[in-house]
Amino acid sequence: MFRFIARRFLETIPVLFVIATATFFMMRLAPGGPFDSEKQVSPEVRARMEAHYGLDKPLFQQYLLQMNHLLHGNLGPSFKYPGRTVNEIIADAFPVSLELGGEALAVALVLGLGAGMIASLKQNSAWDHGPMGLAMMGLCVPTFVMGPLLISAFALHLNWFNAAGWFFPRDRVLPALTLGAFYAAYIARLARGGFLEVLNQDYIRTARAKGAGGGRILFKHAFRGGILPVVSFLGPAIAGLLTGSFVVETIFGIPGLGRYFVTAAFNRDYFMVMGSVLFYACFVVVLNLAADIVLVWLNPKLRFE
Amino acid sequence: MCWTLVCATLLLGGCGKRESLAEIGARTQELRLNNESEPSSIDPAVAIGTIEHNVMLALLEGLVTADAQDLSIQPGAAEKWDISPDGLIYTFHLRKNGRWSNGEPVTARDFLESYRRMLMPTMGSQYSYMLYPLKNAEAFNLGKITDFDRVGVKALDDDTLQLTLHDPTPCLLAMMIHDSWFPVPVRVIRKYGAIDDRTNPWTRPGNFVGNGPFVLKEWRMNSHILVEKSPTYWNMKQVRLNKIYFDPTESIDTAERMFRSRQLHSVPSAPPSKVAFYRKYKPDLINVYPLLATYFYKINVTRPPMNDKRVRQALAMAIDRRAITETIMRAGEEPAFYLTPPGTAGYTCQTKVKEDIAAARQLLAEAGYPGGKNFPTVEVLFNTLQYHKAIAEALQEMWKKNLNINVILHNEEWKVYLSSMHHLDYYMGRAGWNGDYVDPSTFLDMFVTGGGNNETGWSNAGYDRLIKEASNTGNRAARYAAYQKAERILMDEMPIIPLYFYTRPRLLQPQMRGWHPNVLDQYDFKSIYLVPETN
Repeated sequence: MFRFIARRFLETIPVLFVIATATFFMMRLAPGGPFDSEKQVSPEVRARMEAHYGLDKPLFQQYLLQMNHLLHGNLGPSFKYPGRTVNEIIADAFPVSLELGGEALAVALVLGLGAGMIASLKQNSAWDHGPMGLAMMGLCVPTFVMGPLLISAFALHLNWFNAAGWFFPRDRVLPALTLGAFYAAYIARLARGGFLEVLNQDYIRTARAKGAGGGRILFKHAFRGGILPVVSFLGPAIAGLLTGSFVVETIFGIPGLGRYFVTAAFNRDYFMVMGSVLFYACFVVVLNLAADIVLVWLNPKLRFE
Repeated sequence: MCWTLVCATLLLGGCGKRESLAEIGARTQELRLNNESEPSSIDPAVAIGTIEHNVMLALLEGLVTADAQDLSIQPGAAEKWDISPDGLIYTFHLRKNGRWSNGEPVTARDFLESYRRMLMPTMGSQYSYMLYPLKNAEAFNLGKITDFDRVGVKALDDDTLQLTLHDPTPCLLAMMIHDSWFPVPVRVIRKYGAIDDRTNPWTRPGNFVGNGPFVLKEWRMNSHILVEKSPTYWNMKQVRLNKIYFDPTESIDTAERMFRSRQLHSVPSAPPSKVAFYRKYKPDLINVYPLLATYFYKINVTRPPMNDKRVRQALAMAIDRRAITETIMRAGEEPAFYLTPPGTAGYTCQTKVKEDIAAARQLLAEAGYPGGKNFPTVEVLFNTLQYHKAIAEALQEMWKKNLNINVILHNEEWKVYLSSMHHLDYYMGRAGWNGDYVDPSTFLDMFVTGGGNNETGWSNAGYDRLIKEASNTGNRAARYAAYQKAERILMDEMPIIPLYFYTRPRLLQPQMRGWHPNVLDQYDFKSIYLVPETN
């Protein structure tokens, strides 16, 4: 297993290198620059600002410089927010996204696995059609509709929550539900499929014949096999959840990482773009690896090869 | 855990009516203000834009301030000032009780150092040109001279600052309410690094020192900026608010929902789709007032067929501006028939673009396109935003119907659009301009030959001469006469098509008092206060 993990980490290095290189050149090829604004700055001022950030050097030299900085863990300064470094901005915003993502994940797992398992046990009954219908709706209703709907109902009409913000514990509820609902729906459908397949296996029938109860069959015998599709889905899904969602953060005014991912590109904040892309890439790589390890652990047919 | 949280909150939430943040704020004098975006910096030499200006206005005070009701010039850090008869020398007498928030006195030297920093070429300040009326300021800023003693700023003693101009600039005091003229604590800045380093961390909470009515307490990016009443401010008795929270929520829909759930006392812009609703059903919660800003189209006069003045005139005349303001914008905007908003420091342009379809057709025919025949397809460029698109579609339709010409629409992402406009890679492009200070020059200076924001390729020696003449004269009547002539040329040559003057549809909770609308949308945080609602 150690060799498997070490090999996967080594494979990550060229992947990250390619991502960093592609990001660098794609960003520089995009028209417009970080210091373009509606009120034009004089060429002298622009030259000073570009010199300050080293943007006056030849492109390839800039590339080498930035790669060198990245190797040392230095993501560079933000153009949009002078005086702040990309490391600092990510360190500030990531815990918020992590918290929101964690809560949304909890919502997704509890609702999704619960609904999926019940549906698979009571196939083709109201217990199956009801939750699966809801799940279908959850998949179809985008977060930018779900968020304002929840706000309208629970914040503006019932006045139970604030409409947006990230100050009080209760501010977490609506964004976590909004973000979690989509994933819950997806997980519910995957879990139902996974469990149905396992529950039709011979060994489950044997267990039943031996008199095992529904709960025992589900959790003792079927669980590991049933959640396999969910685990494969969770690797990239968790990366997406924990690194922030632009839409949910915008709707609820949450100071998370997701919105930098988008606004940095609009602002041509080169170092911020590179920083957030690489951060996300690392996260995806690590979580995919974690998902693979869990899959092998859950499914003895697989090996660390 | 989350589920427990949901259940607990649902149960708790059900118990009685919650006191909203706006209500709590009204009791404790804590203003919660939507500031539209996250400020990029609160260093006057680095910051650009009104979002930053709003925060700096709470933390710093220039020599003069503006009355929030009518923007008339009032004493600020300077108690009084004298102007020499030729209008070239301004002598400011600073208040003896002016203090920085670290307790040190505010001196004339502080202002001199601040202006020097603003003009240092290495600072790369985008608004350094605001100080160009000072003698030799431009030369120093461009590195042509290096001796700051030659720039028209002198500290005669601790309390007296003398400014010498190269031309009489009647709008100087109006310009001085801009944050580029605010003092900064250069001694403090030096403690944290080079004074001309854009990234100097002196603006962080704990480091920041200002001379304004409030001091910086917290700054959490994309969450809030918190400022508290300053105990060292010379006029602290007038300040009634204890705290101001600047909320950076960018989405106007989110901000409006926060306003409705009474988390905010004021939101500068209601979503356009809701302005009509508020005006009809909640008129006490909305205040729509004009801004010093114009929405217009720039025309690239270097590209045929736009190089023909008659074509540009025809396009400008074949538009129903009121249809745009009343059916698309719907926030009380006034149609614009010239560039400078009416009543700008007492100036209203006397030349209007005529809306006359027959005359427009005639002009187009004279230009060689009778009935729109053979008119090449031209493109309208705008940055990707719903209402720009709606306006462009309306114009496309009007030009097709009235002139029988085909226009195609092309939207570009913001920075791409800026780049296209700057490189004259367009036929017609949407544009907007906010005045920096209340004077026609902030609009009309834009179209001088080679001006950084001209971006039309248009050049007119007569226009340039009139603008120069206006800026060189101290006599207001003569200046405005020159501006009238200049704007007449602009409206005849039509390198731009004015469409409407912006308004501000601001949402305000009834608890907010002492706030006044003005064309610069400038806050006077000394006067604003909150009252708890009685019912």
